Amino acid sequence: MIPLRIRIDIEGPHRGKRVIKLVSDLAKEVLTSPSLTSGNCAELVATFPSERVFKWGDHYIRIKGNAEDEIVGDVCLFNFEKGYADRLIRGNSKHNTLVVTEQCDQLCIMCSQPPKKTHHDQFHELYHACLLADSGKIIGISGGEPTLYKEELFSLIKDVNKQRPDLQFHILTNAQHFSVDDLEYLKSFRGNVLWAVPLYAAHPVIHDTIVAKAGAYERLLASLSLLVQAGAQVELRTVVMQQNISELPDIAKVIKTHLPFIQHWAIMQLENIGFARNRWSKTFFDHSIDFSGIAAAAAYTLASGIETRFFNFPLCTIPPAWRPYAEQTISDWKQRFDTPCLNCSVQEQCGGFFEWHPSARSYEAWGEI
Amino acid sequence: MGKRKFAIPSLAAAGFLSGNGAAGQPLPVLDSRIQNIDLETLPLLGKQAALTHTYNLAAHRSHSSHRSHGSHRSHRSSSSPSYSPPPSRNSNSTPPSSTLPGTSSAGARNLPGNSSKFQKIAMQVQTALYVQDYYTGAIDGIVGPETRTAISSYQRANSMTITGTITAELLDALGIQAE
Amino acid sequence: MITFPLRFRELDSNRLLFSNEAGRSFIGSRSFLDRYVHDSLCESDKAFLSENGLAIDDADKLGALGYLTTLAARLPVQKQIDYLILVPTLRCNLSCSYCQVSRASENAKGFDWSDDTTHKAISFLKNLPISSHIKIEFQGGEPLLRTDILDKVMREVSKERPDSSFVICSNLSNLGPEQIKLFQEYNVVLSTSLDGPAETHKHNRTKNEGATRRFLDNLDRFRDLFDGERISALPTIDLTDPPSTESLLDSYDALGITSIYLRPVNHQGFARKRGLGLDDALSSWLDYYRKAVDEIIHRNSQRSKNLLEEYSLTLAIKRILRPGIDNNVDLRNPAPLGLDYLVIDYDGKIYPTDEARMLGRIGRIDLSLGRIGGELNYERIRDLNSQSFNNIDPDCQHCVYQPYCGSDVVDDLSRYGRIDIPRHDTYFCRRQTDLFDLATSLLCSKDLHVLHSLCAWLNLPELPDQIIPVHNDTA
Repeated sequence: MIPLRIRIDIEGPHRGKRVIKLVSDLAKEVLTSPSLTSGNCAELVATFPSERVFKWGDHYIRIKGNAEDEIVGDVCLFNFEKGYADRLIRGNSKHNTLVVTEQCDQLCIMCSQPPKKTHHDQFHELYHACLLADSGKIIGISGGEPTLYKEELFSLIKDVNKQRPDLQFHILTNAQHFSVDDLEYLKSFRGNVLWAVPLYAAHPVIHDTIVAKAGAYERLLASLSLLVQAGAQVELRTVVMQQNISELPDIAKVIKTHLPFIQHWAIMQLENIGFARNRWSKTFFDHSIDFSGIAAAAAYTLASGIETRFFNFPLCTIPPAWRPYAEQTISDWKQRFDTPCLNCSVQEQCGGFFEWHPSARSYEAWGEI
Repeated sequence: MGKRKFAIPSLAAAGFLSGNGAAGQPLPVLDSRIQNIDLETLPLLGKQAALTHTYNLAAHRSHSSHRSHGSHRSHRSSSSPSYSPPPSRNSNSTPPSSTLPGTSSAGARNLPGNSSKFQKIAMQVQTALYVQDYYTGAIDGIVGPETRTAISSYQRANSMTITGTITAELLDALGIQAE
Repeated sequence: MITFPLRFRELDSNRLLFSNEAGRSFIGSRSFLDRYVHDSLCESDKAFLSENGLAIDDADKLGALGYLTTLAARLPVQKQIDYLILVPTLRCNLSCSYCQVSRASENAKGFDWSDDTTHKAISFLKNLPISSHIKIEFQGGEPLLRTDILDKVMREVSKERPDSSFVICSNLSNLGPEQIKLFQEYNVVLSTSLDGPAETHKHNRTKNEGATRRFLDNLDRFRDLFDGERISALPTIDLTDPPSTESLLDSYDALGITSIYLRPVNHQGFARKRGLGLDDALSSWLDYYRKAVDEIIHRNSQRSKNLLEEYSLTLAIKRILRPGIDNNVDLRNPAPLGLDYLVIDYDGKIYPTDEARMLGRIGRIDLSLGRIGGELNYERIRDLNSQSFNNIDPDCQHCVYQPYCGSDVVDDLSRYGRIDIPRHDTYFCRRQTDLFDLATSLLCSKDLHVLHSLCAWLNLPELPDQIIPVHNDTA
């Protein structure tokens, strides 16, 4: 597991927080990224087995931890008083997610990160972090529900893209809060934002039950109408559970008739964390025993030319013909391979298991390929 | 050279409506009953289809395989497209609650730390490089451009990995104790 | 409820294929048709139509937008020019019986790009408004007679547009160090003609034993030097003496080429003089074609990999099922002319298509769009495009295949001298209709061998229960 929080050590009077990018050669990088300065960058000056030293202005910052971890290129939020830094945008990773709020208006039965009551606004820091990101980065935005702070969110995207049109945002949203007034914003974000929107059923009652919010389905469809009118890019996500496995064929049909504009359909396996951990036996659907429903739905959308992929499906748990459609999606920092995986010939292409999976044995059928 | 004669003298003679005529014809014949839908969306939808998907799908799109000889080859790629996976909802990087922007302010206590120890090491490195004629700057413990250049030169001359930074390998070579 | 207007076509005594303008389709019965035309659909009809996006509730805004999206996706958007066919020479070292371009003999003078034309063409390619890579196809004549021009063009274009791709269409009579060097230095694919077994190839193209041997040796040599991805081949079928479909497929199987684009002789050039490719030869072509497809399906039934496909059939099937498959200039609608690709002929004249340049050469009609270095004739481009789509053609409007089909005004001009003719009488329409009939019957088939092939052609791990939905009405 890759550490997302690192211990730091700095001498001198520093307090509060600060967004700083760790770089290897500031003079060189400034040439291509003019937004970098000696104020927002710390330059690597020494590497030891258990720590690295960065020069930030006139100060030295020591960063503890295994020198094998590639932290150069990271944009970090330094908390000087507490002596740590959070790696907000890791230079070496495709999996960067900024959490803009932990509040949510839905309470999905399998939520991997149950919402919290309070909101701690951090948009200002996130804005500065985005400006320092490597060129062409895709930055994930998640929650909670990011559009609960729609105004701040839209400003963040707009302001960042004004200065950094090369950056792309991948925003996870329950699409419960878009309105006609947002059309202009949504249009202007067209080339830079991919909206990832979950749809769990083709029947309102089932969807509403899963997200624990009456009327959510109707609201979701209204928002999707707005998104297509804006020409927005949409990724549709369906987490597979016992509650909706029989819905998949109907979802596939709805995609063809109502949502043919989506960029792709992501069929996702459950994460054993958050609410899903306690409800595992009542929610987890073991596709390694019966893949037919998923296959039928995916065959339907693929035949119609709609990109369809599996996320968080270990390769050994799905029939060989379908393996090319499984993406290596478990974020690097929470990816785990069990012992039998070590000899597996396809480990490099496989997403592996979630770090917090009770054990890979949740799947009846799995093992080295 | 005289103008060449063609069997069909013009497009108009072949049944083309010349001028602006047909070019202005509406293309799709929409059912009038669905016109309560804001038809402004139609060109927009067209545009959407035209958008080069800046995301992942671009790589998957088979090369525009035009016609003729040899151009019709790339349409069956069996390899899986390179997606950029979605970020997860789950994040250990959930930022901590207290948030006060800003940096130094008066009265802040000194944090425990030993970057002065590092400064001493840096001075030792500068000294060693100075003695060996790689470095000519001040022995101040500040690893600036000059020090980095000197380190690089030393690393190059001694067939070490060239990093321009202080490494354990460098300290070993210069005979400096890190701890 | 809104039911989008349906067109239909009989498949057999009781089954019909229905489709609407967005290309959403299904199989229905004659009694359904009766109810549809008498406006007396029953509840199960309505439920079926609604479930398959053929009808929507008045209030279903997302459904309407979904329909419009599908419709829009079937109308390709005008792009910038990113594809060019270059004819650096019209000279050729072969004299094929069906030569479409009326090539000039190898030693003729005045049939090559001049230095001035080469210079202007390169500058044109470099300055195209599109920002990214382009695709260039060298045709002829035999382009490998002018390796110097090819080298210059590819070098200059690669400098400006690094990811550009190239195709050299060669008869491969000559593969010396100079020619090989081109393939080593650039991202070039070789496209060659292989008309089937050696005997056929000799008869149509190489004429004598020695030249045939040389071609086959060069083909082998090329495959040894470069990987299979760098080569494509396609046959031209001369129906006066076609190879057996078995021997034709054998010759491709032997090369490991799995995608075969079967084409009859084009009604152009020398073939035209000899009366080949005429309309009355169409039915024998269609017979031949269907036989070849049967043979492909049969061969595929015995393999699990390297399954064969007939390229135009796969394209037709994909266009039925998937909106937005519009990257082949032979079959698309609208079929833009002079807007996204161009041909630069040996004399520096610019044409909208390869066939258009041939029509000019035989004095049929002048479709040139200008000369390299000068202005394009935008008025002519506009006029050509004013009719280059099938949506408002009175015959096409009633055709169940219209959303999947295309249009080809250049072929109409070539054959009939006009474009305003009953569609069903045209070669293009008859050939496409037959192709779509074949595609539809395969898509409705329950034959396991057919399904096995379809799976490969569509590149799917498995097929859905019904590829085209079936309305099993009992009413």
